[in-house]
Amino acid sequence: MDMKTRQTRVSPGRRLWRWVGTMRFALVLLILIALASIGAIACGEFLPVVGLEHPEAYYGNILSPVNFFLVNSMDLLHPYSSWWYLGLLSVLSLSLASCIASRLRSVLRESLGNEPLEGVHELPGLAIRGHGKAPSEVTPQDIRSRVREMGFRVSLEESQDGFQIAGTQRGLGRLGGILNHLGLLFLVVGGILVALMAERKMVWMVEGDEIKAPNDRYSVVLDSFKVEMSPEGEVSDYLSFVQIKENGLAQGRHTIQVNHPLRAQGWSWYQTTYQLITDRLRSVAVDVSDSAGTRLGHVLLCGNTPATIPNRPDVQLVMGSFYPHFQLKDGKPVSLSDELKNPAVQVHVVQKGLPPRDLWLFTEYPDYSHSGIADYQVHLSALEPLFATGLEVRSFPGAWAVWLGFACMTLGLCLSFGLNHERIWVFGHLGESGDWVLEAGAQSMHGEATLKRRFSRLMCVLEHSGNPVPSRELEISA
Amino acid sequence: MSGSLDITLFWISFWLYMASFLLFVGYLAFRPRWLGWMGAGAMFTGLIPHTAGIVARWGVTNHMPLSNMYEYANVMAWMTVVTFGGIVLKYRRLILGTIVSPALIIIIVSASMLPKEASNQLVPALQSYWLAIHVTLAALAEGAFAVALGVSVTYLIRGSKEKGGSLSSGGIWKRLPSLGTLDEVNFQAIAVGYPLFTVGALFAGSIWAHEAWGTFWAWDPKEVGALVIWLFYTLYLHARLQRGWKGPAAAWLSIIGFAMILLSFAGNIYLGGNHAYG
Repeated sequence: MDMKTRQTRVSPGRRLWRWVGTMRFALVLLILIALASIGAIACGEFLPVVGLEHPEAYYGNILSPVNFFLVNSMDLLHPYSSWWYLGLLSVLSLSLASCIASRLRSVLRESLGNEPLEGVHELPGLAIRGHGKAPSEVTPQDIRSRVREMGFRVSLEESQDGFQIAGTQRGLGRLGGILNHLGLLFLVVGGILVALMAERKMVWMVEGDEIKAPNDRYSVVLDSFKVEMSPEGEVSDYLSFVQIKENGLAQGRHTIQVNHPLRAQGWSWYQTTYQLITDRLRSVAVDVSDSAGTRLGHVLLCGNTPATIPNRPDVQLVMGSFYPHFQLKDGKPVSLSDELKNPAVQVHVVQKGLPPRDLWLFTEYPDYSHSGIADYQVHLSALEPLFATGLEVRSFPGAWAVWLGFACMTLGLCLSFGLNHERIWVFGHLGESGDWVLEAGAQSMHGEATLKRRFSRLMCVLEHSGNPVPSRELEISA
Repeated sequence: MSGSLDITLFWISFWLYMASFLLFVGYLAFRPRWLGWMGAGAMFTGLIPHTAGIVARWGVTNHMPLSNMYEYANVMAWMTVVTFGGIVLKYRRLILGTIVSPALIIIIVSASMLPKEASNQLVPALQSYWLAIHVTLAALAEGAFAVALGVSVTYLIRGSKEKGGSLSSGGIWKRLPSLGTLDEVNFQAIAVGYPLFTVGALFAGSIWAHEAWGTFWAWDPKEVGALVIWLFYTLYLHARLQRGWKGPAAAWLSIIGFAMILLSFAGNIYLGGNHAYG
């Protein structure tokens, strides 16, 4: 095997690694991910799983065996965590890594340095090219000054044959591309880590409940839960007031609400939802009057605790059953739904010397009262429902990669789009007439048309030996 | 109720933008410069009641007017006019109004067809400063993409006229900026929109979702739609900057990109999800 063959031989693994980092591969991959995402939306529409406790069992029953096998093997019920979608994201990670690795050195060199071209033969590869001349009294240093006036950082190399001026400006803009790719890599890796390693748990709590954190290092106690309503009767917010306990000792009070989770020792507690407790109330307030209508007092019933009527210790009231959507069915009270549409609460009356009896009180009919408990009338004053708060407890082991990705990519975008890296090269050699013959080229990351105009202006100015150029000539040149 | 004032101001701006569009068409067809000035004047005059309407809505609802589709489309139209103002300042070519005003009309007509009821009460999930950051940046980005759409359509029409030889005899299309300028404006508009969309729509949205719902990404139809739009414009930028895709190819990519934005709006309305607030 000769030296040349040995030098050019590249292992298949390395060739594959390089191919994965090519532009063509990246473009095809982006298209595939876009199509896969659209396909996943379609899966969500045709095979919905929201509200299904066991979607596999459900679709196993309604689909034919062949169709179910296809759906299951392709994981179409959970497309975004399927093997093919995560596979595409993994390939994207490899592509990004390969792209970064193969371009990092050259990008650093280009962005931080000001390298001259190898020779005039490299100029045809540039998007902006031009040639002109300058009078012999113009020196290479004069030309360098003119290029510097355009804002470029300039270097000058002189030789027997002539000179080369190389200029660069806003080179950091080129680093933006690398940072963008690096940021995206962190985002994808972080997203995969979070998807695979994150834990989540839904907990329901009512006042007084204490729940241990998943890591068992502390517990959360719900002191109270509140639903706030707007003047128009819409829910404006819902808040859980909790305290953290470690080894039985209170460590602090916190409020959990939407957009303001509680974060403690690697776990985050999110206010996700709430629901009405349908079989009991927090409290019922009643007004009691005598048979003549004279108000005797206000009684608050909480839980199962009996309460006496003011100045009537012989009569006790106790809260009984609660029906949020009361209706009589076959002579028996039922609740048609869990919504507060016709709330009704049962109140037990215990009076000395009399058999216990029940009252029914209705929010929709507050004046409805029972007389018949030894000359007392009871009117419903207020009814406070009891809610259970729904908290979602989550951990995010890979979140650091996601945050790093956001930061990298934001910085990368600022550099890429905020700093337009431009380069210019001017070659000059003395012609037969003694004047300078100039060959020049330039490139711009984005903004070629503008640089082209400035480039043309420069060539025009050089031709006029640095003297002010008539504006009409400049316009024609541009 | 928010009722009449902000909606009245919306309709005033709507008709001023319509007038601007007709004046720009007249400028393109009949050439007198005063028509171009009047078109620009009508558009920027329309911005006054438009801005006042947005502020009025804000005052009545006590939150930034970005909580439903109508409000979002309204703000997106506002961003489009502001972006046009920037382009006129940079390129000093009134004729660009003939390019931007059709895109503006598409957005403002869409807004006019959406339900305009204001809700004084934001749902708890929207009660965050991220609403202003996320939705405003996304609207600004999509306004820039709308400008790119108008420029791309004009590019293709002018290009076909040039190829067919009809420009040599003069005519309205010859008065439009050169293909090179149109191509550059197309790229510049996307170069403005892309970072805003990335940071505003995707990053700010993800961070907010993490705060509100406990997940950076919920694979909601609107989120997936935004991802597809972002992938598409990423493809555009790679193709342009690395493969040299300019001219007609870039114009077609811009048009398809904005079509995806409109599909994303429709998806949000018909598919529902976490973003279906109205």
